Amino acid sequence: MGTLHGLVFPINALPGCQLVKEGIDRISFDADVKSEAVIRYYERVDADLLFYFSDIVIQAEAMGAKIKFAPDAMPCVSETAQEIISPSPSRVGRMEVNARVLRRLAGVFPHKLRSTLVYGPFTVAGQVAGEQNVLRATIDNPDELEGLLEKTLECAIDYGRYLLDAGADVLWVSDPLSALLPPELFPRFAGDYLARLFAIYPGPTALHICGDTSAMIEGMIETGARGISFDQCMNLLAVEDRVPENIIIIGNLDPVEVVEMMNTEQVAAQTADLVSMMGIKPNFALSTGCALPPSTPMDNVMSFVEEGRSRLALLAPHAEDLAALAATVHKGDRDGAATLVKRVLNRRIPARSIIGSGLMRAVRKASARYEYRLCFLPEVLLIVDAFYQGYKCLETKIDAGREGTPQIVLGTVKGDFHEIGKDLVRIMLEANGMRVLDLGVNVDGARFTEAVRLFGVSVVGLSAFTTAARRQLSGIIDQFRQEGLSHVSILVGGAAVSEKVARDVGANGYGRDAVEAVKMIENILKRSRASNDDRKHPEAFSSVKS
Amino acid sequence: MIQKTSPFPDRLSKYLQLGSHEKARQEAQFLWEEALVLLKAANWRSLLTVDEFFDVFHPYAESSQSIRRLLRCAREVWLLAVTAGDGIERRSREYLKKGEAFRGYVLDRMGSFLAEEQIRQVDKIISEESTGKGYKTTRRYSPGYRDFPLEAQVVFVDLASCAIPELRLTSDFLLVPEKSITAIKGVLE
Repeated sequence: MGTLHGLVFPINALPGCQLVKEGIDRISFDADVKSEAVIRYYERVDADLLFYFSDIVIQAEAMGAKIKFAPDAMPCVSETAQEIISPSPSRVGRMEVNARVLRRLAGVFPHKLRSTLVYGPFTVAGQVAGEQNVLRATIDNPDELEGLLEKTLECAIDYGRYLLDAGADVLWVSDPLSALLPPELFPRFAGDYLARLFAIYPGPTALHICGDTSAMIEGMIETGARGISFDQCMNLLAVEDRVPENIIIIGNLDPVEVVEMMNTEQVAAQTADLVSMMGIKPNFALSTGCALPPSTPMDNVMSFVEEGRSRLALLAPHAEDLAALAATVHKGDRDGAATLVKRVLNRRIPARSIIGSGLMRAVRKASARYEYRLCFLPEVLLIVDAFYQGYKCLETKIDAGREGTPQIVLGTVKGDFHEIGKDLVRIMLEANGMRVLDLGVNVDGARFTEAVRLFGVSVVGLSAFTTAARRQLSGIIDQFRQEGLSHVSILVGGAAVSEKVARDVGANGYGRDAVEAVKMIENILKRSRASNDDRKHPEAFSSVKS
Repeated sequence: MIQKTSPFPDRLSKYLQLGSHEKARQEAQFLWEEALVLLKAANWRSLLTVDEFFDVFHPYAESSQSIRRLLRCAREVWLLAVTAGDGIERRSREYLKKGEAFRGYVLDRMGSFLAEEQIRQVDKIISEESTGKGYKTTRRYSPGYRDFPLEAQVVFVDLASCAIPELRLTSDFLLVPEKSITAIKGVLE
């Protein structure tokens, strides 16, 4: 399977720049300063895979592109190459700096894995010849582009070999520009060259492509990379079945919205959630969805690594049992779910893990597959039913169950007696761990506002199946505003409602169906929790550098 | 017409969006058998002249531009009503109350499918009869479409009461049982 499985690491080591006095321009050129930055960084951040503070333009620079350096920003291309150079890495100053840093890392952290960070031939071609020119050439002038790609591949191979010779254990390749290729062109202009690059090294390899790569996953796998690193925009539960078990799924905590922007508790919570979903996979490595920005608070990086490692360790002894439970629920096997829950309880697996990594994982996977249009609503509901069957066996084992103040109020509006759609939303919300007050059908505005006041609820779902009921929506929403409840998020749904209707009546959102409604409500509650936490921790963002 | 022993129709799989999930397909087969046991199908149709139609449906029909447009060249108007009975929807609710979302949802959709199948069949018979007599027909049109008000359901329920006595309306003019459909269909000159 390769040695990446089970590792915990953030991509690259850019926040290390905060630990030395010198700016990024100096770090980029001076092996001593860069070594100091990354060694200090990894002394604090106990990552399993070490990087050497790499910038994305190093190969383009070596091939003739002009680079702009600044103390407070990462290097970037200022001018494409006038003439393409075929460099020898040992004679390129900044490549040699990185090789020296790798050797120092090997001396200080001899028991840890070290990684190269090589950029893909297509990305480097874009940097030396202009990204738009290269993308246009895939159609207008493919032969000439292939000639250029041969040169950028040669540079990538030489640089990769040079770093492996300097002590790197992992050949990590990032190829962000290839995400812009149409999937059918990916093999010809990116995939085939990446395959030749990975072929130079029999050890662990990984491929990272930024953005939504769902249309090119198979192409990425065909490159021969032993690990696929997914961007934070990808839902790993939706794509995991497309990655063979011998390939490591690497990902994918959001490096900006979470690790850079949130406080340490929130980073820990988000990390725990990701591990709860993915930690039972034998071919998973916990990482970030892309490189952490240089300004990421150091405490947050440490929180990610420490929380991630401890959560993975807690889950590891039970991973096989929980994976079997999740798979049974995913099949929609109600009786099987109940039997397996009883069995894992006998093995003293904590109830919270059974719910999070077994039962709820299956529901979230079904929702993710639905979102990616890989399945339809009945399949999701079948899985929800199996979830409930398993959950019933656990109800006496969990301390904080579903009893308690409701978080969401639901109802079908006055004049409408249809309840199925609304009931499905309730069931899905409850299966996702949320507490719901269901006011039933034919509910007028006063009952909605009264319930919201009584329980301090911040989310309301209004269902309208008929055109007559649709006409009630704006009145009910106005009532919320008039009664000083503007802070309440109101979502609408039902057969008589569309996105346009939702906008016209002044709703905060429209749920096309139960799965989408649940996702929107989850996001609202998550934002609401984050803003409450920030009020409790006003210093949360003070450590973030602009 | 769908009979108590009708096999699981191919079109129903697509209608229910079962996909390829094996268990979902197995469960749906079981629910189809249950739906057929619970089905209490009834239908009614009646033919009026256009003048009679506007008279009977006063004031709902003449105030509806879409109805006037539909029947512009019509000589007669068929009134149609069908129901699948209330057994399927009641069982569907029972499933949902027990937290069995799949069964509740799929059975509910099967009820809708059965009601739609019935009205399609009635529609088809009317079209074939009209064609045999050398007439074309309009498409079906139901209360609630565009400006044909839901209030027009009152007339349908009244006229169809002999054939479908259990057909009723809520205070907001929704049909009970829910798995019921009413419509008009014009016979053209």
